[in-house]
Amino acid sequence: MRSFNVSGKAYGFLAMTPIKPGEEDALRAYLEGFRDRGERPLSKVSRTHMARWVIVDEFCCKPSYKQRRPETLAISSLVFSSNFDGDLDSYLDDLCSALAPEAGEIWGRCIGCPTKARGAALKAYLKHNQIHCGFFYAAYGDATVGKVKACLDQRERLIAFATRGQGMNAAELQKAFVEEFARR
Amino acid sequence: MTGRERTQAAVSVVSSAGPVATNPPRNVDGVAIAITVFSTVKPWGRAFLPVLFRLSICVPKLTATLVRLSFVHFARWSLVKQIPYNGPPQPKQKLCYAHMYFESNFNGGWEEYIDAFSHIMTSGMAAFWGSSFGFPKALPVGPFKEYISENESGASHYYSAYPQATITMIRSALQLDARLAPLKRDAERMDPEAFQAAYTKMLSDVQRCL
Repeated sequence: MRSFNVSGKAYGFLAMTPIKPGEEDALRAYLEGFRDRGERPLSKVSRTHMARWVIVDEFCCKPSYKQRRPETLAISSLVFSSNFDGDLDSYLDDLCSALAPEAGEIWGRCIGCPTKARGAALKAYLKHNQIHCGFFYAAYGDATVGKVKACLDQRERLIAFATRGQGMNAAELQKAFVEEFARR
Repeated sequence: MTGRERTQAAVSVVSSAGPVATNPPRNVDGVAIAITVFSTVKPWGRAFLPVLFRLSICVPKLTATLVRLSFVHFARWSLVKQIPYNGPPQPKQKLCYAHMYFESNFNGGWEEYIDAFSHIMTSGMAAFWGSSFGFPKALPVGPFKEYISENESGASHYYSAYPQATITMIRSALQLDARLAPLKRDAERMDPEAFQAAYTKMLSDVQRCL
């Protein structure tokens, strides 16, 4: 049976790392600041379809839930989840290399993270904290990120070409099509 | 920001073709929205959920509805039985209950997403969340939205490689690629009139993908 983390060529990775006491606000500010600074660090890890960092402070437990024993997290945790194409090992190699400038500010604020938050040590740390999937669904799991991007681009170009080609004769249309699509 | 507040903000952000708000919620990237939910699982769910997960993989028919939902890019359920231990100062915590992690990456709006899940996947929702404390059933949808909102954790940063693409656009683009391939391959070898006829037919065939 295939791994529960895999759907087609897509892999669902989830790591949950405990945040050092007192570092929660700084970590949250750093992560939220990516957008304010116009940074998209995960775009450097080119096999990433979609990913997120989430800080989890507690598990919800309300009296109306009728839970016999209230339970919450003993320590705030950082959830990192990524949906990517390909195998985990090579992806984490890419991630731990490409995100080296940011990793210290992120996982460096988590307990147990190697002092130099990069490379093999960071990879081992993330794997140690991996939570495996029970069920993973990917709508286009057989397509790599590169394939999806190329196809979206091609679709846009065909839409434009369909309009542009309306006034062309057969020979002009063929020449333009070949230049636009066949020789790329 | 509560889940419900995030909801309303997300809806406003993705209500048109692209991101329009100057300060969209952190769980939104373009038209893609992230939802992250932890729910506490009743003792019987600890044994039941792994069986359900395995069945969902082995019997694709059980999750056919999820495939038909045209706005879910990726979704995932995980059972967290223990928090990985990394040494002091992390307290050693033996969880009394398992906790279910659910994430989804979708396009549309939070409210519409929960509505669709509740109405279309009613039995599936009961199967996946029925063993969670406080789950009020998928329908009526109001209490269920409240429940998801209470248990949702907001993303601090969310990334999509295709922030402006809906899943319909992506599926169309992939289908289009397959339909376009023969013409791309043969175009140079065809005479112009034959090419024009093939091109016109191809456009007609793929118009739903454009």
